[in-house]
Amino acid sequence: MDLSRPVASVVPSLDGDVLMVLAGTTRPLTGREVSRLVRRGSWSGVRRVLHRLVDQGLVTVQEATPSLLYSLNRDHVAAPPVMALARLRTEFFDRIRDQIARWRVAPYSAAIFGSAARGDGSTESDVDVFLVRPDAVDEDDTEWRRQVTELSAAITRWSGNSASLIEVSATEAAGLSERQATIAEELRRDAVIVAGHSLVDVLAGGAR
Amino acid sequence: MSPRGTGRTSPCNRHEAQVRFGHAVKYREVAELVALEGEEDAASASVAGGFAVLSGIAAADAACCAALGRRARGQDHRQAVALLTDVQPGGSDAARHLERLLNVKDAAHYGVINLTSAELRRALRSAERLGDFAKELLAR
Repeated sequence: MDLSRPVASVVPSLDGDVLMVLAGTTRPLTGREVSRLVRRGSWSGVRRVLHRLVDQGLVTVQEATPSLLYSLNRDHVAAPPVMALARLRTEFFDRIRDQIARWRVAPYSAAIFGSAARGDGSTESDVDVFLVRPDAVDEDDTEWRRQVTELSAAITRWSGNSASLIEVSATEAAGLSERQATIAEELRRDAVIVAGHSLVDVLAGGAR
Repeated sequence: MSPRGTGRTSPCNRHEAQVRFGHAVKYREVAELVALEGEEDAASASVAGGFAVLSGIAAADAACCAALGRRARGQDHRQAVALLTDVQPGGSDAARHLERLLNVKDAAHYGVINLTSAELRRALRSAERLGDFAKELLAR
């Protein structure tokens, strides 16, 4: 799955992108605004899609001279699946959260980072996971290893993407800013926490 | 033209959303560090809270630019609260967090009584939620 455009796994055409923009707000948007937010296709292409969706009743249009304002018709029978498509990325992250929440040996912190977190990857991109193991848990701990292996396999089943895991102890994480400043900065900026302590705390050594 | 005439807004693009998100991240980092290192110092709560407020405002800008292509302008940040509620899903929750931050803004930035540790904790939590919300929208 392309985590920058999860909708493309079901609706690869421009229609999917236009629907995702309209699903993202209750504010009526001009066609130009939709086109800017879609970030692909041409203005004329977006306009054609909008007209098609208006014909289907899935998008409503109102006049606000000199512009036309478009909104997703949330009462349409097709609106719920559109909203579900808009949540694919959230659903993927929620599954990772739920799986880690059931671990018998809880991590100090776990986060998704890299392109999956930034939303600028492709179908070929790995899902990068940063796992912070409590100092008291040995890296060869049988239960810990089983959990990590299962998470990695589940990520591939849920998305079609390989998981790429970086695993460190809490003490190692606290020293990361000095040893690997670039990775630490990327984690602070992009990472999406899926379990445990915030990375600001973890990287500052405050979570140990 | 602003589709809804509910105050001053201006158009913004993805790049500007990223820039404001970068501000949000850095303001929050400073807020967390001041809070962590100044636990014994009463003034630190206000300073850390002040940075948390700036982080939340920047994150709200980033979120609105990413989802609506438009952000609130002018001195009245309440316009940003109204704009955030238009973002779906999660806009209403984000707007509540921004409102909480705006409620402590004057006290944190200009007040003569320091924020309490509970007020600071709430401010940091709201800044974090707004940052996560903006991050999610930028990844869409």
